[in-house]
Amino acid sequence: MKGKKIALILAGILLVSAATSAHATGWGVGGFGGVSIPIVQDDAAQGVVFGGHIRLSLGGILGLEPNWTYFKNGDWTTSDAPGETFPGSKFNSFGVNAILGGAGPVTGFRFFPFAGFKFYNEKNDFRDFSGSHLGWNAGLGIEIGAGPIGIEGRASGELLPIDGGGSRKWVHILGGLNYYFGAK
Amino acid sequence: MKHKHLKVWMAALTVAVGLVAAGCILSGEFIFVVEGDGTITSTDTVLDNLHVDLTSNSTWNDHKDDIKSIVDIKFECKFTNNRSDSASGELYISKNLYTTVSDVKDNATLVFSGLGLAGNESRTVSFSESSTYISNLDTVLSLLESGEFYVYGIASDTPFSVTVSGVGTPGSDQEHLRLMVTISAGK
Repeated sequence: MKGKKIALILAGILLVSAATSAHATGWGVGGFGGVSIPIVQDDAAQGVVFGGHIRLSLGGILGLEPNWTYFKNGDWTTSDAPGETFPGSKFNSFGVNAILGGAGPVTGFRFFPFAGFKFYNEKNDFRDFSGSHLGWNAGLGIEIGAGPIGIEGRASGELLPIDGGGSRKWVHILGGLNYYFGAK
Repeated sequence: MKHKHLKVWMAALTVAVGLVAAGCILSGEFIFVVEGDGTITSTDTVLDNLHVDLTSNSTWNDHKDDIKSIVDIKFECKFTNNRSDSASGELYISKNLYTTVSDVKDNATLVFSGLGLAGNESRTVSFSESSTYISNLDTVLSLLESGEFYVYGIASDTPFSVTVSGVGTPGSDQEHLRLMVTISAGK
């Protein structure tokens, strides 16, 4: 029942997107930046995130998005150790998103749900830790385009399993600019 | 054909969104700091310990039944070498109460080692600095789950005489050795 509801919501978004924009094949590059908000992580605070991606249209509303993202958790404190500040982790991630809603140049606006995997490389000076893990992300974006230019905003949920069990989670709120080659 | 592809993509997307949403609600990383109830002064013939009780810590009580992993452990302490010859400070942890140094070395878990101390030297170790000396994180989980354990402060050399205390002055919040634990917990 829940799955049907989610599928219906996604289908609705895609219909609106299809009705309000014209999809073209092609490819583009883009950059983005924003805030990284840790979810239920006592050892992380809000930080910055930025990166770049390539947007490849597979025709119609299907697309692929190879991407690189850097983000840094802000320094954190705990009431159990007043007056002390501890550094958050830094992450470099590389991955690929599957996109619905179109990944080529757009005229008008479109919503684009996306999901994908990433290899997250974490470095933490406080924990003296450095390592890589496979994680996942999924979310929803909106892009407004004219000619070769697209301006996008998106919210992405990021999930990184950790050794021994459990996981780290973030929400990334992002804004970005895309340029599409060969668009008219 | 195109329709079939769309269904597969939609299903994959739904699963991925579900994973993220479920994870957000059901687990997280939590920190608690516990403090020992005294200082440790041990020699190679007289063993002292510090009893750590987690049962009064609200964070531990909230998550004791659903700890998935130990993300990190840090110590904050001051080691004092009470002899004129050099020593290498060590901390062991065990659920059991031991009375001899050899019992500790044979049975307890070594969690902190390699802190070099010159004769009659005192060295403080902050939470951040303790990473250099910590080992066996993975075996500490079962000790934490028990809620109570003993910390033994000794030196690897014989003979030795060391005192392990907090980094602060008596009466301050940091008077005793402190342990910062980061856990991943959730259903």
